[in-house]
Amino acid sequence: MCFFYNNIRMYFKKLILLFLCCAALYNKADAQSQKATFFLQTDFDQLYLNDSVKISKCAIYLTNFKFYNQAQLVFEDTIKAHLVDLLDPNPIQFNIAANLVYNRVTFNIGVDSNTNVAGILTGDLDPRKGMYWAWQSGYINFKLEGILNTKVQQPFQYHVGGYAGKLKAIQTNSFEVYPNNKYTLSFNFMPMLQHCLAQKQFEIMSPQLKAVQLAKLLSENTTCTKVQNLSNE
Amino acid sequence: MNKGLVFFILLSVFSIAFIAPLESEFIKPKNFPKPKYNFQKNSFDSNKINIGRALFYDPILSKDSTISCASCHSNYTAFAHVDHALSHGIADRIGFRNAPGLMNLAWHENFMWDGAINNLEMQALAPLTNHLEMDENLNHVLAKLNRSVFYKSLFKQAYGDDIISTDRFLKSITQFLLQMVSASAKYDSVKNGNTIFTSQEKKGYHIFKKNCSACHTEPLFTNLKFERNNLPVDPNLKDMGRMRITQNAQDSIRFKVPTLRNIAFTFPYMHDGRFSKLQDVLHHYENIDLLTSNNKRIKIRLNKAEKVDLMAFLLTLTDENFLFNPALAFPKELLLLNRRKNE
Repeated sequence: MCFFYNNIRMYFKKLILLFLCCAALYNKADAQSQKATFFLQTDFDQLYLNDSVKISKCAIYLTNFKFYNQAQLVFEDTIKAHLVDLLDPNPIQFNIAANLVYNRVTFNIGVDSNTNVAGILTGDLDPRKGMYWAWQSGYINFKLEGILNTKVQQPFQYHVGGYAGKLKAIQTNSFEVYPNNKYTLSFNFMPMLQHCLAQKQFEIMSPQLKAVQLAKLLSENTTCTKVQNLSNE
Repeated sequence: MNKGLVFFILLSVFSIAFIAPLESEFIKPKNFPKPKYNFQKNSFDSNKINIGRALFYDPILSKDSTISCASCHSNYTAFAHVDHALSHGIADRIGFRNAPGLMNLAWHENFMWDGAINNLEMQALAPLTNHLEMDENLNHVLAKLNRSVFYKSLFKQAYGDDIISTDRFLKSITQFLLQMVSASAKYDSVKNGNTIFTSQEKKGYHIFKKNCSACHTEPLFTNLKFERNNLPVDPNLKDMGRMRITQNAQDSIRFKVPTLRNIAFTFPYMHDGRFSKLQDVLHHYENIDLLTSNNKRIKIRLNKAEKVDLMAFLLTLTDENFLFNPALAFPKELLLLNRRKNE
C-alpha cells in the first residue's frame, strides 16, 4: 500500500514539474513574441463631409495573412478568415516570434476557392454572419451598401464575390512591412463607388464580371501605411 | 398456432419496421465507385442522423411552419415531388424548377439542376432561404430550434451539449441525406450476380448502353455533368440552366443529368417537369442528335419495339428497398410521440 502511495506521489511530483516547465516555456515564448498590428479604415470621409452618400454597410473578408522575409514564408496566420465591419473595425493583430524577421505581408481580400467548396465552416466563415450566398454556394468577399443623396434618394448595394473560373473575385495584396511597427490598412472604396455611380450601376448581387472589376478597383486602392514605431516605446 | 405467439411475432415485425435502426456507418455498395463526400469531416452517428431525419420532415424550417423538405421530396417517390411539375413553397408560391429525386448524394460534387450548390452540407440553405420555397433565414431557424425543448434534447444527446449551431444543424441534415442510398434494384442484383435480366430487359439494357449511357452513366445512371438535351427553353421560365451560374455561353441550357434510378416513381420529368410520362421522355429522345459535354456526338434512333424494351430495362432500376425503407420515412416515433412528451 505504502509502495503504491509513494509511486503516486512520485508521478504527481513529475506532473507538477512538467507543468511548471511548460508554463515557463510558454511565458518565455510570450515574452519573446512581437505583435504585428494592423489598424483598419475606409476612405469615406469626403463623402460623409458633403453628405452626398450615406454608407450603411461595409464589411469585408481579409484572409490568409502571410509574412515573408524576401521570398521565404516566415509566418502564417492560423485564423483562416477575418470578417471585418469596416464601419466599426477592430485592429487585426498577430503574435509573431520575436526572432522572426520579415519585410512583406500578403493577404487576400475575399475567400479562396478551396474554402468556398469546403462545406460548412465555423467562426467568421459561419453562413450566419450574412456573408454567404445560399441560393448559389459561395462567400461574399465584401459588401458595400448605402444611399446616394441626389434629387431622389438612390439606394445602392454591392455584394462582391465569386470563386470559380473567370468570375473569381478574390484579390491578393502585398505590402512592405517590418517588425515592431504598427500599420494602417486603408480601403478606399471611392474609385469603385464612383465607377458604379457613373454607370448608374446601383446593384451587384451575384458573381459576375462586373463584380471582378469592382474587386480589382478596391484592391488597387488599398494602401498600407506605418503609423507608429514600437522600438521607441 | 398459438394466437398469442402469432400476435407476438407480428408485433415484433411491426416494431422492427417502425423503429428501424439507422445506418451508423456509410457502406459503399459493391458495384459503386468511391463516394465524393468527405466522411472524415462528418462521421456518422445515429443520434445525428436522427436529428437530420427529424429536421427533414419538420415544417419548422419554413417561415410560416407549413412546409418541410419532405413536402417536395417524398420518401415513397424516391424523394421527388410526384405529379408536380415545379416545386412548391409557402403561401402557395410556385418555384421555377422540378424538385428532383434525392438518392446517392454522397457521389455528387454539386447539386441542383444548375449545380449552384457546391457541397452537400450547404444544400439545405438554398430551399430554406428561397423566397419561393421556405422563405426563411438561417438566424431565425436557429433561434426557433434553440427555443425548442425537443431539438435541444436531441442535440444534447448527439453533440454532448444543447447548442444548436449552423454547422451542427447542417451536418445533421447532411447525415440524413447521405442515408438515401439506392443500390438494391433488380439491376444491382444482376450486376452482383444474384439474378439475371429477362430477355426483354436484356435487349433494353443493350439499347440503353448504345443510346443513353453516355449521359446516364452506370452505376449512378448519371455522368454528374451538365448536358444539353435539345429541349426548347420555356418562354415563361426562361431557364438557361448552368449558364446562370457560370455566365459562360458554353453552358447555355445545360442542366445536370438526373439519375434514372427509380425513374418510374419520379415523374414528371426534366428540369421543368414538362413531361408527365416516361413515354413522353422516350418520344423526345426517339429521333435526336446530341453533342455531349465531352464533344461526343450521339444519334439516337428508337423504334416502337426498342422503346418498349428500353422501358422494361428502366423498370429494373426501381429499388423497393429504398422506396419503402422505414429508416428514411417520416419519423413518427420522434416527431409525434417524443415531441408531444417534451413540449
